[in-house]
Amino acid sequence: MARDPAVDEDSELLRAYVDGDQDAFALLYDRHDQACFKFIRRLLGSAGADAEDLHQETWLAVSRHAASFNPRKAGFAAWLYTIARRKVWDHFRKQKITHLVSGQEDLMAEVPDSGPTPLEQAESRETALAIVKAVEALPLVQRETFLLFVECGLSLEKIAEITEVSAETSKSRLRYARTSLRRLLSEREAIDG
Amino acid sequence: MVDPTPDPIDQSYRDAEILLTEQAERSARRARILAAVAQDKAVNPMERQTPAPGFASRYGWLVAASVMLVSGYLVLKFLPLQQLGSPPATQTAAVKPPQKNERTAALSPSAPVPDLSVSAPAAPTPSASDQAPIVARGRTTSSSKQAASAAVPPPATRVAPSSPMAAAPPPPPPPAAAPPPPPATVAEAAPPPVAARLAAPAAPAPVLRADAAKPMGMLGANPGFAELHAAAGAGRAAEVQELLDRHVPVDSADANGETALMKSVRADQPATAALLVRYGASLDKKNNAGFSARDLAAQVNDPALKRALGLQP
Repeated sequence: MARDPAVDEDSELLRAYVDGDQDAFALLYDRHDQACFKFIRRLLGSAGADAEDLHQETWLAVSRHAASFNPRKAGFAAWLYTIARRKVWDHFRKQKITHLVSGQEDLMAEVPDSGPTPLEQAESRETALAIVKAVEALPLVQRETFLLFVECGLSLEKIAEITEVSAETSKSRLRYARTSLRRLLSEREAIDG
Repeated sequence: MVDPTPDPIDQSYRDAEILLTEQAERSARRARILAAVAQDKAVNPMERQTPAPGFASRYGWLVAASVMLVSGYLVLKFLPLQQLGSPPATQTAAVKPPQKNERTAALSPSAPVPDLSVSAPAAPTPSASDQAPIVARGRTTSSSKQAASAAVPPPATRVAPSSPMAAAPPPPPPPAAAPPPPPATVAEAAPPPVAARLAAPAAPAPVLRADAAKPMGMLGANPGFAELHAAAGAGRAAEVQELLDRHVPVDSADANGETALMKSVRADQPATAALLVRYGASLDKKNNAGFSARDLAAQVNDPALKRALGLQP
């Protein structure tokens, strides 16, 4: 399988940072900060106010443990999101937030793809807010799988590695997440008339 | 396992996030985090510089134990001999505890005890390592907010002027006086720093005449394509200019059908967007989700960006 050059560049940048090239860290940050921040923020959901702190803690951890990063073991993105995910789950544990952790996968009904997306129908800030709120309302395990796949661009294998489940489970979670999103958004449309 | 096919709901979410992204907020966050990392490094440099457990840390206990065993053995072996070899007149002296200096002097070559204390690295205190993030993080403290807001344009330079993050290392000078090397050895020249190379490739690339004739959207493997997208999204106009001057195709698209102009628009970078348009970037070419740069600009809704694209007087 051909390797993604971006993955190698990430590892190279981190190695350069360990060797004292400070700009390499800034460049690495620029490559991943958006996706990482959104991942943390949406994963936190209603506790999103803490996203800034957890994002910073994640990057401090990256900096501190840069020397122990082994590119042969995992790609940088997988390593980064493993750290970020751990920060969020630790945060939930500290805050005793447990009500969103359950799977609820089998409770979801399949909803067929229904043509144009809501954003295409009404490109507005309200619709955008509704979409991200719907993502935040997903069960946690579905949400993190959806975010890792869509926002962070990771493969199902990588997601499975990060979330410590099988690739099949990751695939199911992604499917349920999409189904749930469609359901939540169609419910909203029905309410709005 | 094959990843599932892209779903329209995925792109809806991405577009929603783009619409809600606040660039100012992002810049402030960047400044704050890079400053915190620099400060953390300054407070606690040892933790980072310590490599992954190597021979010394893994087997240090074994070395120490061996040294102690050898020392003990030598003490036991040589001490009785010294006592036996001493003349009878000094027997009373032999009963006394032997001169410490003499013994350690005799044993020193084979018992490098002092070396152990020297080789042990001074570990940073936990309080020092814990202090950095608290000082640096402090999202809610007014001082850190001031530092972050003050640091927005060139973030690390203002927040942590003394840190190495502040001054970008200049690219290494080219081998000036060296005679022209044979072609085979050109590649062996010292490479520039990785960050400099990835952020702003200085080496002139071959002119992509053949690629320029290819249809749009089929140029994902072009050298310079990824750099163009990255520079466009990050607003690095000089680099975009340089890459375009090197004939990197202006409308080359990535796997999602995104062009450099779309990246510029999404990131709300009027300077690079204007430059790309000037070089003929298409406003109407659509990505895989069916959005053009024009559509994205409407979503971003920044008058400066629209002016840069010629969509608004």
